[in-house]
Amino acid sequence: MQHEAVVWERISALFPSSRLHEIEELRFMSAYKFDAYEGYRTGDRFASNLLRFLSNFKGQELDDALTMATKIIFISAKEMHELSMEVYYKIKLKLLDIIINDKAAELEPWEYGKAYSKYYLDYLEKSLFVAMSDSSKIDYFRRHAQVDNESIISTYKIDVDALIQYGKKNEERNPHADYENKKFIFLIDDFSGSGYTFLRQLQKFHDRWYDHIKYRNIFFCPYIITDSAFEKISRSYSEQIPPEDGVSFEILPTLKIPLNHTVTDQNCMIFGESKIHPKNILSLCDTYYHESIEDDHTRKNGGVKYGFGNSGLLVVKHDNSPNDSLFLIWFKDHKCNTALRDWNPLFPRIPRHKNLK
Amino acid sequence: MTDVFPYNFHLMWKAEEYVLRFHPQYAGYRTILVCAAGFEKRSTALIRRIEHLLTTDTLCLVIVIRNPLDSDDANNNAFQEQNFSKISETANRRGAAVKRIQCQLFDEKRVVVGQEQLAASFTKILADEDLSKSRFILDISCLPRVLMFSMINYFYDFYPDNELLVGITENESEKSEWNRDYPYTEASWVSPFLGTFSDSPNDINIWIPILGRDRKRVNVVLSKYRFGTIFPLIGFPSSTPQDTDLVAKEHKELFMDYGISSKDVLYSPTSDPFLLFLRVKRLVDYLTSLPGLSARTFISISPFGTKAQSLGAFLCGRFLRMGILYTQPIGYKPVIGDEGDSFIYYLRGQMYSVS
Repeated sequence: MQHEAVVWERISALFPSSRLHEIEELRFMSAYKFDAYEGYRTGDRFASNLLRFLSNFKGQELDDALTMATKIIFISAKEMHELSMEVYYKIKLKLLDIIINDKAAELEPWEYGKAYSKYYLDYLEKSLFVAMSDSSKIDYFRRHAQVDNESIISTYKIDVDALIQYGKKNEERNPHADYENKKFIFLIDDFSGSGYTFLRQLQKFHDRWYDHIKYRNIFFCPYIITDSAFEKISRSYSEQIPPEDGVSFEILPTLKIPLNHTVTDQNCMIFGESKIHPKNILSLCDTYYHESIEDDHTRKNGGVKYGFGNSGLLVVKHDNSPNDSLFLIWFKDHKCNTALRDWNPLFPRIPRHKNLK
Repeated sequence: MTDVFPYNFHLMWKAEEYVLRFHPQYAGYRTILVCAAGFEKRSTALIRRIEHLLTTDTLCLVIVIRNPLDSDDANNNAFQEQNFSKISETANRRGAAVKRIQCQLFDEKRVVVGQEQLAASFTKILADEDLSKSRFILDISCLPRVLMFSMINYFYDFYPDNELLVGITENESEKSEWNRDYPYTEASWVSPFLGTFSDSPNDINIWIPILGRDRKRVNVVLSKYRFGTIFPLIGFPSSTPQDTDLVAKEHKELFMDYGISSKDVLYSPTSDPFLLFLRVKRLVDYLTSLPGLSARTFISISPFGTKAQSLGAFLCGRFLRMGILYTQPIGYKPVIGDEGDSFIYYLRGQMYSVS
């Protein structure tokens, strides 16, 4: 498109020729992935957002802003589908391990084939797959995994009592609808950045569901999880699931974002060996941050200055920018009363909770 | 022995986990370990990590590859001898027998000849062995891909009643993949997966290159063959979250020159050959099911990514009858750096058996 070519020329003109290579790579990535960001309106492209984003900065800051843009980890829809497919194979193997363990008197530890042919479908019937958010791609997961419709719950906030009643009416027709006999719960979500949100959801889930269904295992299956969320959840889940309930909990991660891929980590490797870049980028956050961008929820967990819960991420998902990433990337609020009202993000975030006032 | 692929589930573990979970419960099986004394530290990683599987009836076949065409051959050979000694020490510590197999990678015309020499040596050595109830573990970490494919296939075909496992240790850094200054051999089909490229305008030539961090190999293939359709395969998830995009950026000219969009890209995890196989199978099934086009569609795959992805390419060659198109560097510069994790991939055996 002519307009887009002109925008790229304008971007190139802001930088010395030594940086043209990076701009060319960004141009390639915009066509390859970034333009498909669902937060862009019709006619909107990565190039125009990059040009506007760069206009936030001045002098040396421009260099750091460009460097940051080149290091964004963008997960496309296709990549997310790939992760949901991989999760399915992990779950399958996990169920086979459980079968072998349960049937130790009958099966040798290596008899996966027998476990599969004899018991897998029974165990699948006793499994429930629950979406933890509207971006968990549960529909894609279901189609690919060929899991029965009745074994998929598209929100954990459902009325469990009504679900069980529905199941009772239908269980003769479909054994998957026997919800009271579900033993294995797989909580599916696309992303866990800090672990705070999941722990809150886990508490709500267990409080709401365990009175009705006496499951024995909960598996959290995030498509993407950071190292720090993994550790936080592993450390704290027992506060949400009382040990006396006898429910075991395990995380089955697919894509893990290591700690050294966060800008806030002192061993940050996103920029290679350079220690200056992470420092400069955090300093951009310091310069442009204003307390007014927080809400009660974010304030309680350390704020979003360096990403929610100090996560320090440069991650963008095709359908939204997580607030665990640096606010410079995603913040947009024209109703804001501070200088940030005119802030131009690279990938504008669609907030989960809109203030309708 | 079950030999049905694709399986309904895929078995792979970190080497240490495999040993911990299935030893000694899995006792009674004799281990035949085949590995190459390579130039790098990772040559010795797998045997060290599965050391407890080795017993007095274990046989270790250790391959030493010579390559006079490589200007660094003498230097590399010194590393090989060091690693051969380390492998032997580990085996001897457990009372296992070691047999050395030497082969030459190329003849003087740059034709790969190592695969025939290896097959002849395996046949000769194993003819005298009692192989009932034994498992082959093929450590392909340090084998050039041109030898790796024929070696795995050899064990698939000649020992159908034995368990077959493949071990892989990647280097922690994959820089060797794109730091090579060596010339490459002309692109050719890797034995025994000989494919077809048709010059007829009525036929369809499709290429699935598994992309790594070295675009030179892709260019070598494209200098000889002009494919009408290309479906690049990129590793995702990868060893780091940035690697997938780095690979795509490395090949941006391929995308632009051939008008490849992200819709045409296949993704599969860099460490899972089974999922790679399933991805490719789904595409191949679709492409060859188009009415009237099946007999006129020729699909080739090229393994330029990780060793685990190359194992996936092997499965495609064997079970989808795809041609494997490859170009081998004439020489090799060892990577100075640490070894990564070792993985065991279970290809065939009683774990998949339903009876």
